Amino acid sequence: MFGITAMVLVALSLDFDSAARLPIALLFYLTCPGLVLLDWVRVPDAFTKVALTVAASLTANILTVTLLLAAGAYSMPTGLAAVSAVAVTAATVSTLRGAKRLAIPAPRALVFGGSPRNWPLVVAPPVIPSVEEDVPEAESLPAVETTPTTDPIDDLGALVAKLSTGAEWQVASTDWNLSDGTPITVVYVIDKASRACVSIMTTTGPGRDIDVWSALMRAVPNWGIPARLVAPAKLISNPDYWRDSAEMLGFQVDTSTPPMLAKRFAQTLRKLGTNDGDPASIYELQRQLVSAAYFYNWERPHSSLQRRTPRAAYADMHPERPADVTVESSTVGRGEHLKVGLHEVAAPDRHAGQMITALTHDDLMLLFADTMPMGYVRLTPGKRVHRLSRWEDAEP
Amino acid sequence: MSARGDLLEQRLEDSPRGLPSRAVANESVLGWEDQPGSRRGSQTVSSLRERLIATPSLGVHAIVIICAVVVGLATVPSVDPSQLGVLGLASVLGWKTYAAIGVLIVGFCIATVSQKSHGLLAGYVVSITVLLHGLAPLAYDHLRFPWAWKHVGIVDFILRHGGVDPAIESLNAYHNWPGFFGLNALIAETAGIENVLELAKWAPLFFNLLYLAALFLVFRNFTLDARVIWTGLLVFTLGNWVGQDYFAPQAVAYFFYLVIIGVLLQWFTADRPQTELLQEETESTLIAGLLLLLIAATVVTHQLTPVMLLVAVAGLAIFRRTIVRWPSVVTTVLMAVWLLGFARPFFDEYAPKVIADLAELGGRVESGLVDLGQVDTSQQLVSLGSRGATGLVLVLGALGFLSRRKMWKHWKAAVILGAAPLVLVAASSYGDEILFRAYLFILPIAAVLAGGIWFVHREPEDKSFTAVQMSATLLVLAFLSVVAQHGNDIYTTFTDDEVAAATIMYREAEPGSGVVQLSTAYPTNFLRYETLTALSVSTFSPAAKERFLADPDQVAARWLADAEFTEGYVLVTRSQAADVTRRGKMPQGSPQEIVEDFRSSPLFESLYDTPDGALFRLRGKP
Repeated sequence: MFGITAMVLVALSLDFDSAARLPIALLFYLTCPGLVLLDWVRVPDAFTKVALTVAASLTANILTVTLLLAAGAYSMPTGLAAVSAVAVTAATVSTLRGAKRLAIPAPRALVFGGSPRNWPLVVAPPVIPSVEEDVPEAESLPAVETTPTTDPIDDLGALVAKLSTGAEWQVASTDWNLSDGTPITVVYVIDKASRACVSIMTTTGPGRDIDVWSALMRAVPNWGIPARLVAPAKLISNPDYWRDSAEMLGFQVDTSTPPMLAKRFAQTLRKLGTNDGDPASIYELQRQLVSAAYFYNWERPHSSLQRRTPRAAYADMHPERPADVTVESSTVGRGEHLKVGLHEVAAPDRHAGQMITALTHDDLMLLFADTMPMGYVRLTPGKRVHRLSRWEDAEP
Repeated sequence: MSARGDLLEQRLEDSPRGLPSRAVANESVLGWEDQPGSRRGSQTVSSLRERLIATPSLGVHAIVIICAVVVGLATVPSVDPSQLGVLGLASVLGWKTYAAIGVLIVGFCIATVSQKSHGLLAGYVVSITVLLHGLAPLAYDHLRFPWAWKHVGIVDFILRHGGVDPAIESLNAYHNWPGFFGLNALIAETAGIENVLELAKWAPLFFNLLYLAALFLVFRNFTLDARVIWTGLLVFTLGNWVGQDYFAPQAVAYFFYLVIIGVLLQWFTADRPQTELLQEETESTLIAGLLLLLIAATVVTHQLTPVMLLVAVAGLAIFRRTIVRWPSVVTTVLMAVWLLGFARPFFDEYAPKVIADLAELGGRVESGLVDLGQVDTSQQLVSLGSRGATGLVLVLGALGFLSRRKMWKHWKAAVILGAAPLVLVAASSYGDEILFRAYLFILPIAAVLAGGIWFVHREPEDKSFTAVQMSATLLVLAFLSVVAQHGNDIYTTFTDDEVAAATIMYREAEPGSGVVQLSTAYPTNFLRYETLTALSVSTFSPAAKERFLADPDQVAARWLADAEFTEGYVLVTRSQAADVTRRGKMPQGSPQEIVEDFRSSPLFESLYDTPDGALFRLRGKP
């Protein structure tokens, strides 16, 4: 915005053709100072960005000019000076306060696109999972347990070993409609042996690779990593995109076998999830699904599990909790740092707009762009911005 | 390290190319088969999204859009307004232009039914908007609508005087709500241009594109279904024929209104928990601040829109669709402050009239409609076109509402916003415009409801049939919209001669001059407007009109001889003639007879005389 303001002032000081001055003037009055708003407010889509930027700019400029007119102090120099002052002040305040475009995506996503398209839920013991994720207070950086720097590949291997369950998980999806007819796809993951629903999420799109990936990663902190992930081909259109990540985390993706158990779970979910009637919003649907999954996992005895609940059966099969990891998803724009908790990672521009998943254990953060490995980060205590390292450059 | 970790490490060390690629080296362990030539690793990441979203027909749609827009824009003829037919611009557009619009609408329907991406649907809707609302600036050399010219005149006033005069007699409302004009004056001076005529010409297209952006924010809070949203946006574009999107304060105030409603529904809705809406204090403060400023800007920009805004935000608060109530309080307070402060001269003059109008609601509503029995055939067709477009949009909206049995709970805000404009009809001191403005505020809601007719279920039972139904309906609406928008162009657009005649008059007239004109349908008040007092014959009593038609030069000379006028002018243009004859205000052929009378009159001298514009000055005035 400094640039646009400077451009207008320079344009005015130079005597050149008005045909070129008009676009500059319009650009100035239609975007300044509204552009600053985008540094501070999470705006859900490009259309809204345009609307808010122009509306905020027109508002500020019309009010400024009106005040001058009402005070009888209007003239071109005073008008331009006042409007420029507002724009520059807004930009300066924004810069001094260190505005960063918020990386947290807006929660309401649209069908067929938008970023991100989904709204993952965690079905996680031991507490009732919530769709609201607590934002930690940004007072100080969390203490990171420091261990002697080792080969990241060693650490990765150790982490994968701790997370591996050897289990088969099945993925499936089912269609749902909000009360206004809006179509929603529910993607869920079932542990075959214990029948536990380890992850469930909603997406406004038709359900694709990235939704399965998101559901899978959300399950990792509480349920570990499967040895085999059985998914229908319509959800994992191209297993090639999963190859590197699956190799890295030590599981297989199988799209040749139908996930029969998971498909049957759709009926159970429908039965348990519609007690409160058709949801009016995606939020209500999520709440219903989380309640249903919680009831199913923790309270409903299962005949094929000797009247145990799925969660109890799972606990019997896997008595040790998986390694302590956190998983966060976000998106990043061009030239922006990826924000993961209180850490920031300088991400290459080619990942702009992709869903970035960060899996953190101790001082090692694994990053995935959509379903592909992106690299890793060594978290250093007291340091906010970290550099992304490529696996290719990891020293053995 | 566990055995599994060792195994992984071994695999990694065996591979020469780093983890993502090396990890596939030990195929036997995990069962992957290395596919020669397959793209892997970070190189494939950037293409993932495209490959997931793209479908083969996306390219075809893109080509259709580009071709249709190019053909459509290239084939818009340069139109001489004097050659316009019965349906105005709709009569002279070539089949290629119609075909381009038709292809875009059909393509949009196919893409929507096929659930294509937002970008593609946006491409269609923006292209159709550009074609429909770009027709006039492309076809005509001069700014359309006489009432847009007078807004240029207010900007001219500010440029000349460096301010406004709230107590001025002529066009005083604009001086009391000067924000829009002041900003345009500043833009003109910054850009170094003499006037804003060229800027104003493109205003309808600019505003309609802005409306799309604002409405996207509004609609996404009613439904997440992209098909409904984009169809709703298209119905809005097609149904927005009322001509309130020209270079005018109400156009920008309407944009503010839409953004305010969008902000309220997005960030202050009662449908979602507060924790989800605004998570950061700065963000919360800024959004609330923006809302406050938007309300303030609406209040100082236009006199009627804040009333509509107040009804809408109060309705949302009363029916608990928003979690904040202060916007209605703030709107009320700011309106009161502005009316009793800066706009006091206007308030004192018009408040009694507004109160009187409130008591005569029925009569005013009746007067807002054209009496088809009093107008000529072409005007009847245009009126039927505009009523048809209005009726179709409203019927589609009603059907959309009925088609969703369970939507009341989720669409309560939409219903409130759709019903609120009816209150506006009570503020009928706006005369004929009131129903148009009420329709304008109902239109977004009717449009988004209409957009849902075809998409009640996730997948239409018969996609082809749905696409055909949609296409047929939207094509009819598009044609009616073109007729309604451009049917009256014969008297709302101007030739070079008309502009020249008006320019000469406004440039040469002494301050305090009077001008006799048949109607206000000409490039009016765009230059030194305060120097002239207009006497529009069509607005006079039938008796006065009769006297004028019987002996134009004598009667006009008598009027202009009044000592109040320093000079006297008579201006008759083609557009005035079309206006008064088409709308039944004067007999067919009378304007030509009037001009002949002035040409032969010894009382007047001719300053400019062409078939499209004739300007005469009264002789003998000092």
